[in-house]
Amino acid sequence: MTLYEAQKGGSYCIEGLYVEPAITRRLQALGLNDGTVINVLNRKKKGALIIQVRGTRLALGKHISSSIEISDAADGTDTSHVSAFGKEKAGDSIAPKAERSSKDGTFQQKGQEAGAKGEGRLQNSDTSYK
Amino acid sequence: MTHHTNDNGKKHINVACIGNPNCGKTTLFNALTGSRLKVANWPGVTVERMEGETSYEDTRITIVDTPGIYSLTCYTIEEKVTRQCAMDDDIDAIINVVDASSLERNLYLTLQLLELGKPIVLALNMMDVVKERGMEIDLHRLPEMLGDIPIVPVSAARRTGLDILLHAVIHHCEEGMEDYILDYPPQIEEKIQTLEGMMQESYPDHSSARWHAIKILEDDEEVKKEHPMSVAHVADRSYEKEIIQSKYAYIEKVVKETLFHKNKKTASTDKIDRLLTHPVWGIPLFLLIMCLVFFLTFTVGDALKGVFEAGLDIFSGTAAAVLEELGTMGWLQSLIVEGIIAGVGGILTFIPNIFILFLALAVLEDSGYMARVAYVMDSVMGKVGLSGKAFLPMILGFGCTVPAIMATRALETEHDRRKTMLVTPFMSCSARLPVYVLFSDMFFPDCAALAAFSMYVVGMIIAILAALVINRLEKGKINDSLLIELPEYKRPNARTIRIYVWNKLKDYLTKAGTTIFIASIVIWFVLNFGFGGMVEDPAESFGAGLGRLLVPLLAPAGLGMWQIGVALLSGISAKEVVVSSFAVLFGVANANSEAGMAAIVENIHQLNPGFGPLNAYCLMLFCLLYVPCVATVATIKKESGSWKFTLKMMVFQIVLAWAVSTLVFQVGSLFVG
Repeated sequence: MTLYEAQKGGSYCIEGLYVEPAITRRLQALGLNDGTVINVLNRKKKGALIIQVRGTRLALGKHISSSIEISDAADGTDTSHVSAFGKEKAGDSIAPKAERSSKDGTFQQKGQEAGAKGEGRLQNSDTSYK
Repeated sequence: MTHHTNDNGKKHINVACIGNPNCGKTTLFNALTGSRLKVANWPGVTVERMEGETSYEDTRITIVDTPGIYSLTCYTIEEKVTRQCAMDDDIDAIINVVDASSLERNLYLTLQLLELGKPIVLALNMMDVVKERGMEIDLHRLPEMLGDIPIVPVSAARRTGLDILLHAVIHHCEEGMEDYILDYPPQIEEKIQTLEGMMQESYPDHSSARWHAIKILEDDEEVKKEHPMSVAHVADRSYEKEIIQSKYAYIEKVVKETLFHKNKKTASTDKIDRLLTHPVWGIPLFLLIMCLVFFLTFTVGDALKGVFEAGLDIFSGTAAAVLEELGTMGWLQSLIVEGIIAGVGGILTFIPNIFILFLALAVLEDSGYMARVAYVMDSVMGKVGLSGKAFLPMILGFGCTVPAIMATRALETEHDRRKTMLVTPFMSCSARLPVYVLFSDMFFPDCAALAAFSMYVVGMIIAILAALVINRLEKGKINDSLLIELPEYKRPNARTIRIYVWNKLKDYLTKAGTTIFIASIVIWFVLNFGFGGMVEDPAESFGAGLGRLLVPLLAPAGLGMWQIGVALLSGISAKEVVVSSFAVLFGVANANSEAGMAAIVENIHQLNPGFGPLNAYCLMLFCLLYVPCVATVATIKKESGSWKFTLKMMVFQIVLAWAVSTLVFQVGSLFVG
């Protein structure tokens, strides 16, 4: 599912970012990587939501949140700041990884599509102000 | 390392403060250099590179403040500024300001800076917040894991640790950096080393080959453009994701080993947010808060006004008496008393209102609420094709449009920037406040605050409508790509508020002493001279002639008086001058006093008995919407880099001002009769 469908108060694990390259880069720099655990602090019915990631709060619009693939965090009681590193160390089972790789094919395709679309849009906005 | 030595044998080094947005770079800069740059609690306050001086022992240090960045990439204008600064050869060392309370995210930029190879000192700011939350940081292990760079805990707000920081900077600058190498997965490390070798071969003088190699692997356009090499066989695709993930994996290791008791206390921020960012109550609460701001501005400001009025009356009376006593020539007396004192003095009596407005805005900006407004307003702004972030410059516009226009730099695309620049002048700035206060007090004695407040609401609605129309014309989509960090709420800092309010008051006084002073003299001149020299009746002056040209245009809006034409024209120099010109026009010493207002109303009624509340309201509307002051126009030209855009905007604003005030006057006339 995507982050847009997430519940307020829920804890999730990022599976992939499928948004324009410029935004992807920014999100990655902010620490939203595959495997990062995030908490949804607040959300509007339709639209933006507030997440907690790596000890900071971010507000994300629908366009971005609906382009972030997530899965339920394995351990729901773990509240904030849970790092992917810590979890893998703690002996996270191998099963979810296998699942992930089986899905990878479809994700990648989706990702490329989103990427291509994104680039087109970016080029558009580039030319509009030249 | 390049050490510059100046005439008196003192060493001189240049140091840049670099760090994430809202981590306290400018607070640190102010503390180190004694500057008074604006500080607030939302990401993106600083948009320009600023320099300041300090010294430590025998070294003179130039400190450079930069806009906050999350990564050494270059997508927005501010990021480009900061990256250029970090890579600038003149910069001898970098103070990496880190918000210790969000160490994990802040260290990402630190790792990138480490790869750059310049001497770095880490200023660990906001340690007080860390302590408050019951967290602990292992200050022995942390530097060990970060290439043995000096790490100095500081509190920029309380000004502690500053000397240690400067000492560390100078010492570290002399010693130079040890090479710091972060371990990447083998296949990436191999590529980095190949590219690094190529860099050294092609650009032997280069100081940070490894950093450039990594950036090439990340497919960084700028670096590839500046250092063209055929790298396709090595950097066959972007390895950015892997590189970022390796960095964060390392940071997780660092945090695990150095940061303790992370979850001891949950921040009170979440509790406040539950209310202020509520899905239903968020917008009403925001409007209520703005209501409160303007209510305080009008009521408390008016209550304090008396002191200023009394002072001005005494001053004006004394000046007239002294001039009389000295036997000054009539025209000079008139220029000083009816021109300068009336024009400038009248404006000074609005200081209490301006003071309260900026005090309220300062508290709002320093509390951490600003970024929430971007979230709360995102759905409304999204429908007009802008991100919620575009609402931040618009709020700043309630203070002054010039910094608001500059703040649009934080927006992601040039298109969004221009659109925001176009609508920001519709947010009533503090300069329009005197016009509203004066005319609503004069013509709406029973509900002055409400009439003035309605201008703010109308301005906001028109800004949003204008953006909506533009979006429709462009066939633009809903914009829902908001991305903004929400800082912790904090108690506003007294020093920060003082700096903020004082800077604004100083600007206001400077404007009164320069723009308004000169405008008042010019207005006095054009109203007292005609083709035949000095005139008794202003109706025969140059000003009247000029104003009469505008009468046919302004008549449909209920503003068909040459005096209003003159006032509106002169108001382009600064909006307060609209008030000044009425004062000069009718020779009123203090336009903002009861007697002064009565005199203006009487004068207007003598000239045009039909001029009532509806006309006054249309005048206020026109002032709200027409061309902003010259300072704003110049800023928009500078920021957009286009005269065409700037001129189009001015035409749009004049047409809109005319259309709206005409519509209101014509429709209103049907009811008022």
